[in-house]
Amino acid sequence: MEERKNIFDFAENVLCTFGFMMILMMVFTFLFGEETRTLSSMFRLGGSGIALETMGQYLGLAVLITGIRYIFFSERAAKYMPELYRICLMLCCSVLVIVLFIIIFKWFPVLMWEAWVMFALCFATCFGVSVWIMSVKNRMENQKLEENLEYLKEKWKEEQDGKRS
Amino acid sequence: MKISIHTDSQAEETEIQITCRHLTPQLEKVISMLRILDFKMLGEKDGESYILDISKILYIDTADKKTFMYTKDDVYESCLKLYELEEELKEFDFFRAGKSCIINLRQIQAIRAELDRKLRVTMTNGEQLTVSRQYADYVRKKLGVK
Repeated sequence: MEERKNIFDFAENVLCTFGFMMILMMVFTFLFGEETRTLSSMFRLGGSGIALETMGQYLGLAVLITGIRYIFFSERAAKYMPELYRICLMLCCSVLVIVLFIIIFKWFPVLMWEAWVMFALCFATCFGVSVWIMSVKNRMENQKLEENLEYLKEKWKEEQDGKRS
Repeated sequence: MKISIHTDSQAEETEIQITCRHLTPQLEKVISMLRILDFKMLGEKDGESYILDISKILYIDTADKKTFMYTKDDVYESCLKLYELEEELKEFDFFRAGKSCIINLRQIQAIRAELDRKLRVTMTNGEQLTVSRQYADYVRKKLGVK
């Protein structure tokens, strides 16, 4: 029953994620680029810009993250797994992919624990806040949808009863 | 094809009479369209034709270029295309839920918004259907949420 997604929908989502990542990278490069030039391969150009190689890595990450999102929000996954499981598994897979990218592309020194703590903190904060906002918004919308559907049902019932009498 | 219209102010009910040598697919389409005006639909099951009450249809979908109408317990094939039905059934609170599906709003038991902006509806027979993002906003508007 789900509308079939095509390659253009996927590309649109990838580019949207990539664009968001690039905006954040621009901000970080501007703020911390010079200080972290020697520590991270992401900021090897310092405050003067983002390397083409880094942009390529981020594009790859956007493709994988979008792919993971598509898998866990597919009709098939929705049929066999509750929403909470899907979100948890999606989160685990996304973290795993990001950690692999950090290690493979040396985004920061692997043995530097402070960097890992900061990464975990940033990720957890961003994820926690976004999930909280999304779930509150969703819950409010669901409540309103149910209420309005009930109201419509009653209206239809009255209409039918009116027709009968 | 000859079309005759006879007006009679004494007539109690509008009557449409079709005289033909045999039923052609085009004629069947015309009859199906006329049935909709009478809140009925023509459906085929196991080679037999059935007249269905529109309000009893839960949803309509297409598979292998065929159109199927789902009631609580049965599935019937329609000779009309989905886009033709969409137009005709709009006034009966049917809405497009995806490229291949039309849902009867009045047969929705429960509705739930998904995190990815889609809607998941539970029909009165317990079956769950998805309203794609493209059409979900229409339902939200219809329910006064947007």
